[in-house]
Amino acid sequence: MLNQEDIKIDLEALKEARKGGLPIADWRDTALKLFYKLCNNGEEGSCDLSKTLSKELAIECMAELDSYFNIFSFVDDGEKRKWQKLSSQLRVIYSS
Amino acid sequence: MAKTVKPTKGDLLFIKVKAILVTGSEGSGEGNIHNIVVFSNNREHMVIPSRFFNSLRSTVERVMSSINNHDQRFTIDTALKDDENLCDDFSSMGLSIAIGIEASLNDWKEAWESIWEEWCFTGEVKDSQGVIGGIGGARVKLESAIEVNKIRYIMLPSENRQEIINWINKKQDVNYEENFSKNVGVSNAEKSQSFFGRLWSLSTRDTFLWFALIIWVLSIAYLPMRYLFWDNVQSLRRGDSHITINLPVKNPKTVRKRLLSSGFTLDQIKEIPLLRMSKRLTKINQTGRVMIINRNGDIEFEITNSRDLTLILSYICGVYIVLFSATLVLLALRRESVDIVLNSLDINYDSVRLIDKNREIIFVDNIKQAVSIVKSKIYLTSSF
Repeated sequence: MLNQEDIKIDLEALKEARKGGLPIADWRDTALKLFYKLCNNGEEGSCDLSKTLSKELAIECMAELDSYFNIFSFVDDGEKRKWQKLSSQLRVIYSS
Repeated sequence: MAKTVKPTKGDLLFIKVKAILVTGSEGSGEGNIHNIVVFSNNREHMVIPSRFFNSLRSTVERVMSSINNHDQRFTIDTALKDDENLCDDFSSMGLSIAIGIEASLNDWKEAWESIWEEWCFTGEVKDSQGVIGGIGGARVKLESAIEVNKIRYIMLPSENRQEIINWINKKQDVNYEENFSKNVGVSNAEKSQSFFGRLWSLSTRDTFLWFALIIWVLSIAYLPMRYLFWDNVQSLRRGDSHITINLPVKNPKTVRKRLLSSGFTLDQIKEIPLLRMSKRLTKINQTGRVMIINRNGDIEFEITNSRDLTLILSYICGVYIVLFSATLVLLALRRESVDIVLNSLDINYDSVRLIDKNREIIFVDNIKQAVSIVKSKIYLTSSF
């Protein structure tokens, strides 16, 4: 079950890793941890993202993950599709 | 008619503005309306998708310079998708971003939340003065905006005005009227902040003023405590065998009660000249505090401090309360007069009204003018 506090912690870790720059692995690890946590909950239907994430959290996750994928690109098409689906969900949350 | 849902405080952090971008191939592109989102994040400027950050960085920085604000930071979602085939550059999104930033920093964001869908913008922010420059594909952009039902106002750069007029003239079936240098007086008396609202916004404007406000509240709390409950407070810190009394004694009965409750006997109290109003102490016009000590049955007096710091502090607090209040009131009154002057200013702009379609095309030269027009329309709409 997705927990807003966990997401906040992961998000802050990701921000720190991005600002820290090196080692790059930290940025990748924290980004993917947050990404898969959000994706898995969205896909399994165990949790409705719009009920769990606030608008602020949604836009911050969107900005950070988008920044990560812009730099590191996608491992495969599956990851790309997952991101497209997740980013649409996040955008709906804070644009509504 | 459906009742408008009042936006929550959280909603007001996300300012939505319509911008028009052209997609397709060069020469045959079509305009797409994007609902961009402007969110104040207070850390760093960010753009979604981030690959467009470099394209928009200078635009955001120009907007911030034009409003002389270098502290705020924004996340801007351009609402663009990866597969979108743009044949337009991002610079024309500048006016939309400027309106979003202005709305999120000012007190009209709640009003904006309820009417944002009626507005659409396109224009480049040319420099740090907020000058709006012409854009490419103005005709295509205008065509697409006109077709959106909810849009009533379309704002374009003045540099594109002649191009748009020529295009409308060529269309035989468009019924329109042209307005030159239209004056709109901004009369938002109903929407201007109340006196207490101004007081509050002034006193919480920055960290320093927050600190000053907290001291002011503490001062107000301290004064009645010092004058009404000080004896009780002092007693809390003293043991049973001694007690401190403020001089001169104004109410001997109260002092007697305190002495009794502190373990002094009636016989001992009768021996205290201070309470018998003997000439010994009443002759002395003594201020400060006297400590009455019971040393195994013998009563001793000790004037511990002729300068009562708590009293001096209460005077300082009193002066501070008056000065802080007076300053805030004067500033709030001054701001009201400034608002009235600003509200009475006329805004000049050219526009074209498409009569059959009930659309107004507004031409602007700079961000300040654009913001004034939006505000005037908001207040005019809400006053009817």
